[in-house]
Amino acid sequence: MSPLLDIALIIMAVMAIAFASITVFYKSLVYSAVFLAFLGLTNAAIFYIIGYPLLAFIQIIIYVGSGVLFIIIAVSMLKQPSVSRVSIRSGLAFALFTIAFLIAIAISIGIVPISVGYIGVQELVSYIASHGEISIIILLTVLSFALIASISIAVGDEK
Amino acid sequence: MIGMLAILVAGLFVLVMGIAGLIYNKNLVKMLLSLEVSFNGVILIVLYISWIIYKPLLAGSLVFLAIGLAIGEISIILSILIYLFKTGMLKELDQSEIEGEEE
Repeated sequence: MSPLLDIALIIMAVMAIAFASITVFYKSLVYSAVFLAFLGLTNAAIFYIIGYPLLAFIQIIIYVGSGVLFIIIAVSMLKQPSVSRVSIRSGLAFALFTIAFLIAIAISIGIVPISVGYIGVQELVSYIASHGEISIIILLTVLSFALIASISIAVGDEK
Repeated sequence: MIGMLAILVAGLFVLVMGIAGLIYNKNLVKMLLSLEVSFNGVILIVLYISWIIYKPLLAGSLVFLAIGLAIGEISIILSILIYLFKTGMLKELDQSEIEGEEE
């Protein structure tokens, strides 16, 4: 295994540990959800580096893009935030942190030769389609149920 | 090899952090976030185990299904919370304050 690969994976592992700690112990709910999104992005980078591009794509699009965003929106619906302005200094620090995070991920993915074991998209999809029909049916049922239930519960009868 | 070991250590640490958050936090949304953190840790451990036993396709399909189920879980739990808040059945997100009201 290439030493660059090891270095990239160690960097990602340290970042995952740091984001998990911040998510669990940070006081603000919204910022905790934001750091959960960073943890999801770090996991997606790990998936890509160890050779699962499809899982990385799903993790970013579905988990970070819809799941964590839904948590952030729901939290802001549940708890009326007090009107407060973020200072320019902390906003700038957060923006710099985000840029540094994205650069670290891009460098880690860019410089590393994928040598752990590359699982192609077509290979994984055909494996799931041929070996996991029942799992796919269960997943579709659960997601349809979740969609219907969440809409009907959230809209709900207020009486 | 060291890199994959780092993934295992990170997965275990993230899992423990998530469980600690479930025990430590009294806020319902924070508990959900801790559950999601532990879910991320479990995914990393599954990928490491698949690398050890060399079944990458099985692990890939497992993680794929786990991500789908996690999204279903998030949507249902949060919509229940929104409903409880809308109807006034739940006034505080803090679990300790809910228990205090019941006493």
